[in-house]
Amino acid sequence: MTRSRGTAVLAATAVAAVLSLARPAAAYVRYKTDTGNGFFWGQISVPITAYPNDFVQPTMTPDQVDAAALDAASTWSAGENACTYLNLMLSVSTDPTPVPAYDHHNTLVFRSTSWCQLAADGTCEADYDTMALAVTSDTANKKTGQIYDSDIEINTLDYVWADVTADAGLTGDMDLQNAITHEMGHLIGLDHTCYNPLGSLPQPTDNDGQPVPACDQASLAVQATTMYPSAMMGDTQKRTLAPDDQAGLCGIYPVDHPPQPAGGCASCATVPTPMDGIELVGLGVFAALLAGARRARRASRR
Amino acid sequence: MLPARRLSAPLALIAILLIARAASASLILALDLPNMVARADQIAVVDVVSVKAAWNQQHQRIITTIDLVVVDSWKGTAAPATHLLVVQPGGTVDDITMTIAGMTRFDPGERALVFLRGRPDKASVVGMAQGKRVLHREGGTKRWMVSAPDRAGADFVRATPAASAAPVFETRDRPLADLRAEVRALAAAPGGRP
Repeated sequence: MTRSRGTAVLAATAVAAVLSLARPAAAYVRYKTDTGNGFFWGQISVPITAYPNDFVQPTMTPDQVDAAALDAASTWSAGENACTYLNLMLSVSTDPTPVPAYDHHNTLVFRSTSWCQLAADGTCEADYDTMALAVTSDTANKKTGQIYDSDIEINTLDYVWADVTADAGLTGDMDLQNAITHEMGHLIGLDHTCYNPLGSLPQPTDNDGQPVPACDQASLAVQATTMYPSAMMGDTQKRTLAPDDQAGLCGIYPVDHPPQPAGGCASCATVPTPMDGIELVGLGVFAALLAGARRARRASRR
Repeated sequence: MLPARRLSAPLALIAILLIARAASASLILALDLPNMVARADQIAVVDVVSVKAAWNQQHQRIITTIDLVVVDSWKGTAAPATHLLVVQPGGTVDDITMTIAGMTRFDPGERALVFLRGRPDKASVVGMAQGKRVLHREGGTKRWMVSAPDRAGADFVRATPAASAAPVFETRDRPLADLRAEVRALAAAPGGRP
């Protein structure tokens, strides 16, 4: 009797433990067109150029700024996520910072003198909210959702940025990699994991058709996602993808369904194609060039 | 768009207070009503006349202009029947849509309470979506009400609810007249910049 009761208690404890560990399947929220199509890039590799020249804060070295951007891109790429084919290929340029525009040139820029949407002549066309750490503009086909261009702008006018994991004394600043990782989630077509219910119409739904939680009601799991739309000083949680974020990345860009090259290809979904091979070689060359450029840049700064 | 607290003294104070609370505090709700009032140059009940998106001069970015007509001004100089223009990035023109997370959506014909910052002919919405509140008529009394969050039965979605204390958002519909009195009192108070 005692033994059987003990066994039952053990079994119940085990079941309870399993249940407590279980969580609902990860879910994600996509940008959608008016017709309900999710945003997506139509290619395996998405090039992004970072222009760190205008990052002039003493809290970070140029290498730290570059590393924040590169690591954020890697976080959303196949190298760190076996379930996706997507690669965000970030390069760093020392050229003058361009005005973000719909020009099929994806950029990451730092805004230190104004915080608004810029016209080509440098005047402000529309103000950004100073509550925003950063802004990502995705330009896409309104019917299909295919993204053509994306630009990330970091607000260095109103906020002080740091690598708070490297500099323990700077936890009162905003972590740059944290914010760029979040913005790159927008770049690939993901929306926030919660919404502001006061002004938003209508309430969005996630990939399972479930209503997206209001931000003040969001669970701890939702608050822990990279795509949760708020950050506090010293926050580094968004550097790492939560299961919901990874589900979004791999749901939109699944490794076993890479985009087919123009003209179609029945076997492209499972067999590497010549174009994939060229792209991989290109990636290797690109990575080597990038590494060389970064070394040269570091040397020139010393 | 990733919102956060700015490095101004009042918001830094808010941030400190939030940090002092549990880590699960509702960080997106950084702007409570006093802060919304303080940051707004114009607070008004408006009707949305039109929403027009267009390419900029260089045909490189889309800008949306929202024409609002003032019904009742609570703060600022806009008289009833005058127009306010909100200009915000993003929108849809022909086959191209430019999306920026966090931007407020306006629909022609709707009535709303708005908190605006900047020039009356080129204003922006305070605190992104926080600066627009949807209004509706109460069924029985026909009073104007400020809509509560539309949770659509969402007791949400995944895992445990947040452990944060009282939400900054109001959770029930509120008579517009009550909110008007509170906003006007805040605007008249020191720091409200009436």
